[in-house]
Amino acid sequence: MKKNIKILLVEDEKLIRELVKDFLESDGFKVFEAGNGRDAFDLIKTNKFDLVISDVKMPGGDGIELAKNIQMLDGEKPIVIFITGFGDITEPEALEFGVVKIISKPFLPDDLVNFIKGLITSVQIRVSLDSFH
Amino acid sequence: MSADTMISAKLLKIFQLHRKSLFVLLAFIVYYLTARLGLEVATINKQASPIWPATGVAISLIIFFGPRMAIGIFAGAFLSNYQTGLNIPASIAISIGNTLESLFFVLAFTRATSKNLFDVHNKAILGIFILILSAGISASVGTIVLWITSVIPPTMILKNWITWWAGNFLGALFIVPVAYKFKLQKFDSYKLANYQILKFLLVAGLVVVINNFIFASEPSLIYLQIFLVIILSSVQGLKVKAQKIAEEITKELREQKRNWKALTETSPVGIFLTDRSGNCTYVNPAWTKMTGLLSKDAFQQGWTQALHPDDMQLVIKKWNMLVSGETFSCDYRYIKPDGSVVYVTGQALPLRDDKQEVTGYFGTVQNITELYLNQIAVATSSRMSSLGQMASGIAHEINNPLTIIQGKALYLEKIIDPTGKVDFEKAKITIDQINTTIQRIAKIIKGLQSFSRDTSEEPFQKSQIKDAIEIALELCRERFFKNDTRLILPKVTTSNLMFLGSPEQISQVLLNLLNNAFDATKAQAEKWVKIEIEVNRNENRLLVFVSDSGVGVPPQIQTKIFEPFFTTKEVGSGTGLGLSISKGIMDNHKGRLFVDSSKPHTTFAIELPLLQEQSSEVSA
Repeated sequence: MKKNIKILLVEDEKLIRELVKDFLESDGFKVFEAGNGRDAFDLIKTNKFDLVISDVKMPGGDGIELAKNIQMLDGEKPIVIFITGFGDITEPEALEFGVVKIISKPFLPDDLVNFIKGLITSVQIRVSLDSFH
Repeated sequence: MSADTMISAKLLKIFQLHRKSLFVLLAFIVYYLTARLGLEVATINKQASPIWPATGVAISLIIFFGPRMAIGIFAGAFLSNYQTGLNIPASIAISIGNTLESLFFVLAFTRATSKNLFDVHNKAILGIFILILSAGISASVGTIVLWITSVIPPTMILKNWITWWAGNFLGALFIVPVAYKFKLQKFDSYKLANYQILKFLLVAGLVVVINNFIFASEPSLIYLQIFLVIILSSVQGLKVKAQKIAEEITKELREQKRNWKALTETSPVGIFLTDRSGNCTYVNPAWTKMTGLLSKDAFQQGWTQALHPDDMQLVIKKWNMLVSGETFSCDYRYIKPDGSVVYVTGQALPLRDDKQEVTGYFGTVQNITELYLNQIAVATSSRMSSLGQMASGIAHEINNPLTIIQGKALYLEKIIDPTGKVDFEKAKITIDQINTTIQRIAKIIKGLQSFSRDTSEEPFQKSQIKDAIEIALELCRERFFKNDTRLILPKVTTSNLMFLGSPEQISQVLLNLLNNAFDATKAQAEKWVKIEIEVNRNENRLLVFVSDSGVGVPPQIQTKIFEPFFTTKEVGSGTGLGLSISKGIMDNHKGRLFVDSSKPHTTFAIELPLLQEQSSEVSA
């Protein structure tokens, strides 16, 4: 089941990207990478992702811009979560452009993975409940 | 109505009806008596008196009651002259002369001064001149009549004329001014009048004595009377002049006093005066309001009880310095009787007389409590806001590496634990990555240390400009990078550019300029900040320019930007202290911080004295 979940990881810090990617992949997720918001959005326009994990402050298009662009997409949209430094944005603010969660740095990759697993499960339950109806 | 009141009412009516005639009668009596008095001292013959107050009295009568008095004067003159043994026509002629004299004076003088062309002094001179003419009328008529009627021989004509003229002139000289004063000013002139009459009597006595005992024995000396006239009239003229000056000075003083009063009573600034030994003699309402003391409590040394006990020493010390010739200017505190503290800034200076001797001290005290408290609030809030800015910056810089270290450590744990077999290759790479990231944090902390340490007391050392730029960049590179602001760095190798100073302090200045530049480009489409280095080897100066793509500093605030607490940034984001502190640092380095308006973009420049390098490796 997890193999089908496609995640786009947007982060300008290469080591963090590698790290998170390693952990997610070892848990069976399919992970794609982007170094900034604009590159990420280009990928999103041509590929279907279930989840976008994005840093907020990045050169070449930040996370907020990316989230806003995603919100304006037609049809099925990926879920967006932020990984962020210090007080860049508050959760209620982020919620306004569809970001469901903010994970503050520093975080343990395990915690991130567990959160995503839980999130995916709840979404899947909801999806299957919807189809049941 | 009783009979008495009826009678008095009737009398009053009669008086009112015949008021004018009564005054004429009065004039007749007064003139007659004065003329008799004058004739008592007649020296040349029975008619010509060297002192003739009747002229003065006649003029005064006309001044007060009008030309109508001429009738009374004429009658008085006639009677007195007739009694000297002259025949009726001669008496009439002389009386006409006497009357004309007074009329002429009053009419001429009133006419000449009606247009207010003359001041008091000139009026007095004019009066004396007219008096000379009018006394001449009387003297001429009288002398001619006496000559025609053979009362005097032709040889006596001149002597008689002079005595007559001088007598009339002197008689008027001391009486007419008093009459005019009475008429023109409603002032307390009784004292003055008494004094004037006394003086008249004195002069009259003197003249009589001189005439009787000197001129009478030696008639040829009678011409000296002219000098007497001249001397006395110039004395009178001088007196008027002195009076005029005194009046002007008094007027000026009164005006100054009024101005001073208006100024001090309405001034929002506290004002005090002390005598030479610092005893308070005056405080204005603002001062009493400021200190909560009554002005009488401030007098003598009372003002010191308004001083805050902690500032007492300071103020006394400064005051002693003022006494020894230095300026008094300091900030201190008052404590009011209710216990509230007032922050003031005070100035004082010595007051000197014409000989430059100190006569006392003048001081002002301005209430700066509000300003002071505001400044503290601003300083606190700016410190808080810069602390907040710094904290968020540090958090940003450190959270990423922490995430990496934490994650990598977890990763290590994972690749070691499950099988017991270790992928040394992977582990090595991970450990290296952890170490590099730890170094990254260490570098940031090091940069911070250089800011938190107070380097102001440290001796200057040979430093490289490269280091200063490096430290500054370390603390802002990330911010620029993340916001897509291009950092354009100098192409010149700067390894050999040295200066004497503190690289940490210079980097603070640079960081400040870089942060300002960053803020200025934030809202721009094109975002870049450029650092350039220029060396002026002729003048041994080293210049570092920081320019940006922002909109620039408006010319009208270019001089203000270096002032403390001046900021163009929105509340909370700028402290307004950056450039003023930076300027202070540059001054300490014998350098400069300025806006270089010769460049096309907003350019701040720092200039430092270049230290001659040991090696000559120069590369560009």
